[in-house]
Amino acid sequence: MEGKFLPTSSCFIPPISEEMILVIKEAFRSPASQVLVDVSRQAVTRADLETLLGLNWLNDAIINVYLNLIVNRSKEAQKLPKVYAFNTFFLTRYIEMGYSAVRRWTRRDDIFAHDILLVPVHLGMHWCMAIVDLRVKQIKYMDSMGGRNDACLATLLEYLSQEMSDKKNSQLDAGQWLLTNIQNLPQQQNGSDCGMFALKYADFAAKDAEINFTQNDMPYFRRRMMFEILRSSILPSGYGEK
Amino acid sequence: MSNPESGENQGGPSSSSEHKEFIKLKVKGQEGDEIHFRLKMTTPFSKIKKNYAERVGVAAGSIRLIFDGNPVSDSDTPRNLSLEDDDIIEAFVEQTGGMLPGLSAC
Repeated sequence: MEGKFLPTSSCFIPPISEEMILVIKEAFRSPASQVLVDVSRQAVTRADLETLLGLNWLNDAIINVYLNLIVNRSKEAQKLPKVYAFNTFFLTRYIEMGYSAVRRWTRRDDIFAHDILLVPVHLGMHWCMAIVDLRVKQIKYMDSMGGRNDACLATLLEYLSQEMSDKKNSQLDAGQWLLTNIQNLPQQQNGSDCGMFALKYADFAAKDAEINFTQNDMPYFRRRMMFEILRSSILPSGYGEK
Repeated sequence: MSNPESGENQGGPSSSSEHKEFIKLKVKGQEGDEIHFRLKMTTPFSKIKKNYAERVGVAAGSIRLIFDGNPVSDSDTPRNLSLEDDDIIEAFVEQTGGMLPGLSAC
């Protein structure tokens, strides 16, 4: 009985096809430093793509390029929330050097003109995802190891306040904001998949979909993600979408 | 900084007054270290990355250069990024994560 009705890979579309596998195999014939794709200025080399193989740990290039793909998907689909993604180095730099060090990082962007901000969180050897929902004034922290991070949530609110003051010359009412460590998220069951979980939290949140994948889906997601990165576009999926 | 100062000199049609030939840049590391480079406006950043990586003793493939929050690619040049003297390029080292079992998340 148990586990029988778990929403796992069986309901995904599309499956990994022969053609997709060929595209992936072809990419792995390139030299390690060969740039395979470039999405919104984020380059991905064969060595970067390799971090999606097996149980390898994902690197910053994969996190950044996939977040860029999520942003591009949102631009192409009117019904999806407007999404903005920060670089993986953003939060580290802000925490270490303060607002002045990242002030220019958004000089061409109005982050407040979006619905959702995706903020990848790198903790030494662990990836998490923070998601700012500007529509409902909430910052969510999502950790596939179940960790809480009140400091990160407070830091992001502080950043938003400074950014609003600097770029909009207006005050953010911190009291209106809800900071939440999201509980009961699907969790990683190994020592390798935190980057995958962080990206899929972002992927699902960016389309307001219910987060209902599990660890069992990760081998599928890894292969699919390799293909999606190589074709520079996220495949449509009925899974989790209305 | 080692750079190829030979080659195209002034006089060419490309070196108009608004297009100077050389630029001074700083590459700033995560520890706050700064390395100054003087390079041609047309030098690809792959060369800067390689040189910087050698100086700090890290593989070039794991260096990430960022200008104003945007990744700088190997084929970018100071000219195509419209850089100006004393602009600062930030250098980061590759991040990776998986989380080993037994270690609690911070």
